[in-house]
Amino acid sequence: MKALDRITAAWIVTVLLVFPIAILLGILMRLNQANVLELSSLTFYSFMTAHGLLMVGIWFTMSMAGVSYLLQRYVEVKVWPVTLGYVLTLVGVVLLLAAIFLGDFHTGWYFLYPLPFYARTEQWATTAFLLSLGSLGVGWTVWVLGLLVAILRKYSLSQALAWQHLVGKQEPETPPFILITTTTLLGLVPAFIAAVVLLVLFFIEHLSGVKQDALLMKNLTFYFGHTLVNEMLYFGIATLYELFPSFAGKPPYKTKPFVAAAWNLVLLVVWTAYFHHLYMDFVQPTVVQYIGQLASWIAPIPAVAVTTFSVLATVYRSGMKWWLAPTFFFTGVMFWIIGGLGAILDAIVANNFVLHNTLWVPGHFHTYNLLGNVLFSLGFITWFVREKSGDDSSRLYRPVATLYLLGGTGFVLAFFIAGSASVMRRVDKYPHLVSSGSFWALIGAIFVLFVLTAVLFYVFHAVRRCWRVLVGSS
Amino acid sequence: MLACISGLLLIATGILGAQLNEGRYYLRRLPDVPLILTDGEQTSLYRFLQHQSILLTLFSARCGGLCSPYLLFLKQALGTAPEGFTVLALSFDSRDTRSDVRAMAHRLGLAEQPGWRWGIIPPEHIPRLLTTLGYSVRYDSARREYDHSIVVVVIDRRGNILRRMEGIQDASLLKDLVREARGEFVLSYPLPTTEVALRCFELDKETGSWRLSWGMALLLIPPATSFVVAVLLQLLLLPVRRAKSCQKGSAC
Repeated sequence: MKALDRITAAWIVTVLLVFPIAILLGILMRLNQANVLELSSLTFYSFMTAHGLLMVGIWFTMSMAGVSYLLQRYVEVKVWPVTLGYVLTLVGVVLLLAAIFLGDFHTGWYFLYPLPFYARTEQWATTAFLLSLGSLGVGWTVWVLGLLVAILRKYSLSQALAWQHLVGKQEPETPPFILITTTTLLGLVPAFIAAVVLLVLFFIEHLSGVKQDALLMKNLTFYFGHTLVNEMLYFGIATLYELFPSFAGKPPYKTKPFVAAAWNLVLLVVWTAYFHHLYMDFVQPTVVQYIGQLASWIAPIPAVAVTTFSVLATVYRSGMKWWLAPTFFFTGVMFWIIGGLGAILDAIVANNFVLHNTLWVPGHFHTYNLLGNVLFSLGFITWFVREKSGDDSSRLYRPVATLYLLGGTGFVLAFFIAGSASVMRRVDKYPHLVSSGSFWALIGAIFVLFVLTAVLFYVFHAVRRCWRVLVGSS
Repeated sequence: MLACISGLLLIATGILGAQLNEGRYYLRRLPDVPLILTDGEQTSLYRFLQHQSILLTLFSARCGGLCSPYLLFLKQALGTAPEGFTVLALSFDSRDTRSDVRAMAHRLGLAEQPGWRWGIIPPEHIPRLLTTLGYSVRYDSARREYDHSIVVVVIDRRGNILRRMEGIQDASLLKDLVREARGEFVLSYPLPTTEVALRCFELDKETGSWRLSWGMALLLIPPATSFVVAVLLQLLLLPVRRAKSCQKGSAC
């Protein structure tokens, strides 16, 4: 059994065990908003912090674990950066959960400055949180650089970015998987450096009391956070480009000039898209707000258009035998479009003034995460399980796909509808002016129970098989 | 003197305590208490609110402390009531009669002020209103006066608290309170001070002009460092790529 198989199986087991717990935290929050439960505000915001950070953390790492595994098809992948990433992630998560559940750290997953210094009961919780961020940051940076080095040992930077295809040359050939992975890794490096700068500034204030500039801290937070969330979707897309054609019995995708152009454009503008989180910050220079709006359009649209076209062309008249993995990938792309559209609508300045503090925002990010990015990773996991155990999860296909997609759709719709009715986000209880929020919270909670049921079936199935890979008995 | 000191203490307490926790009063609904206005009209709070939002303030006609200075401050800061609003000044002192309140309004030159209304609340309804407003009152039997908050509260037409401002503050803040209650976006941002390590902007207090500062420049570190890392990796791994290329039989 290869070491990369084992560490990939370890990632899958860990992520799939944490996933239902994180969902459960979300359900408890929605039930509290629906007035079915009575959580204290502190408990609600602690749950919100844990739910958000766990979901982003596990699905970012799972998408990168999938890419690390598939990368060995093209280049030699060292296992130690992946393993170090795993160990430091575990350390980070333990510190984070201790800060949240023992120290009442409840900043929300954005941990916007200066909340980490105030939104906690125990003072050590701030230290634990900052150390957790440090551990995750170091682990993920080393992992990203490890993958980048693996690619650049074979491909030059220009080849990895498929610049030769941009000018119409066929050789040397850069597979789309290498192109997308490289643009994603290069996009993540500045995000992690932004996190380092942010962390240093947090520690300066924590240790010396010297205050930081709130605008600078917010810029750095979203530079890191938004870019990370954006890039994890692209890891999922890289996995899709690599695996999806084989499900339809078609040859692997080639890097056409328009594909190369789209992903190079993503690399160029993705790190400026986060500016749309700062539209409300009127002190931000105006030109930056325009850049934010333009980048919010330019970063996703070419990638979405190219990917959707490729996926639809692959499926069209392919006679594809649908099973869980291609279904996850296909529906993931479709919901990525819907969630992306919701995000782009919100990223338009005029709309943002109406929508940004409403449930529209969790509506769109749950759409492209729960029904997009998570499905890409579950697609990879299903494929991995079949590769290692020969089981294509056929018994699970109908119940899991139906429950997950039906439940997920109802769940995000409840967010969108409530957001359209101006129900605000990030509150534990709705005031009577927007009491419809409680009704939609209940609807959302009921639908997400379907998702949880599907996930529990799936976890039971996949974890058992991956555990065998992990302990080397497969 | 004692009244002044206790008043100042109350202001300080108000600013440091309740003022900082203003959010907890947001959208709290006031009880529909009966009102007896100085012009003889008998109504209720909700009926009164059918036609306008209000800026509600409370006072005692017997107060030898802060009530008069505070009402004069409101007069100076607001002048006539802002468009769409009525300033409703109610006595929280159960001993005050309609004529006491009318006399006080005359004394302060506010009896004929456009958009201002004065009145009393039947004594049995006062505690409910004060509790909802978070209005602190303590009777001092030695002085036979109340130690109390000074506050102005913005109430919408449904009887909800939209904003609450405690103590005598900058008049512009009071105007912002009204603008915000109308749904206008009121800008507020802490001015750069020397206590902040790396600022995004520097402000020239003499001229009011500003310029970008090193804090903003810090945002260039991530892309610049990433560029350097990518170039370094490209150069450092060049021999490895050449060696691989040689192994495949290409020209070295």
